[in-house]
Amino acid sequence: MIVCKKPCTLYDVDLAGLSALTVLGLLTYFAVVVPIQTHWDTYRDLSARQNFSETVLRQTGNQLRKVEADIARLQATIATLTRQAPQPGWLPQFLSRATVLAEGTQLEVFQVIPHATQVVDECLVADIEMSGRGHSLDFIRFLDALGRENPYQSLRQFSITRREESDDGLCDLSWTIRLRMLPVASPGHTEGQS
Amino acid sequence: MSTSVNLVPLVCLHARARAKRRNTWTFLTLGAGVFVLSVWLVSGTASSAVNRASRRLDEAQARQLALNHELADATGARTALIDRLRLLSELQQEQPWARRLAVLAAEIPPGVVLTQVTVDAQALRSPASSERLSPPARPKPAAERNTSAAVADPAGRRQSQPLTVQVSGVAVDHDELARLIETLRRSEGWGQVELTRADRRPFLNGLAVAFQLQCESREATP
Repeated sequence: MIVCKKPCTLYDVDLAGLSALTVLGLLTYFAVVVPIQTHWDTYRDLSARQNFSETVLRQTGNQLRKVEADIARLQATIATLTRQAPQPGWLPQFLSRATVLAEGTQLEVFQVIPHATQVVDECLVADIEMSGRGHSLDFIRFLDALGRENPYQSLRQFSITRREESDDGLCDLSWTIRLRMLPVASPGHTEGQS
Repeated sequence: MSTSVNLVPLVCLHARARAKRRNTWTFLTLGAGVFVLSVWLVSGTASSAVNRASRRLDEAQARQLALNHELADATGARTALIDRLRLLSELQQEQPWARRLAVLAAEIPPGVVLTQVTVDAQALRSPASSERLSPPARPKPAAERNTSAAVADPAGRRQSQPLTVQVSGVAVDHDELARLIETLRRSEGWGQVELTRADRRPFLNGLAVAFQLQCESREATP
């Protein structure tokens, strides 16, 4: 069948062919181009998120390594300090050592009264009252020697009273030393875990 | 002169032309169909690429989640270790008194004799410090520990309660006493030096000024 004769002859198959190509074009657009465009957008978005995620992963990994290094350093330091720090069982040894030091600095010790152990600021503390007699400079030497030997104690109270009746410079001395000790290690604070 | 006569009927010519056109269109349509089909198949691989990228992202997010948990655990462990280290550091105390008393003994004016130096025990048992005492069996919760800890200065050193120091003695005159007070005020560790009592009284063969000073001393623990 001839549809049109001039300027060119058009047959019915021409219309059918054009229609088929148009349908194919539409099909291509909706079934291929649009999905590819969507997939491309999605892929681009996923790639960007993946890159961001990888960056965050690297940063988190670095942070984790830094924290683990900190933990290792802390563990080593804590292990050393724990070995050096006084434990609750050290009190008799400390009393003996303080008395020896006092006598070594020419102080005459009359009385040593250890008080009950208490918990202060998470530490075990034991107050030790001592009294004696000696020269004030010897007492200073005693304090200096004790401080150098044991930094875990502090002088909490003291009194230096010069005896008026004596000309030899002897003083009545009384002082209280506070020894700070590690509390008994709880399971969460054992050296192995820490 | 020749004359050509087309003996083929016009209908046949049109039929042949139409058949040619039909073949052309068929070829074109089939070609285009094959092209579209192949493109559609290729777009299927794009879909699988998207799926792969999505899976990779999911894996990365799962790894990130696991790493975050690990980091939180490690940070918690580090905090616990730092607390432990702080406790161990706080065990060590400053030892200021030997140096302080030595300086006092060295710089005391020649006309002054000290008869008594006392760190007031009452000041040590002030309400603030006695609040911090507790029986050995009662561990404090972490929040309470933080609030009840001693005050820390900006340098991170914990300041204990100030101690009251009383110094008594005898000076030959008020000038020597004033010199002693000035020496104490200049010395490190002695603060708020106040004269609480000064009176003349017989001493040896003459008169001397018996005095009492009250000072404040603040010790810092690392």
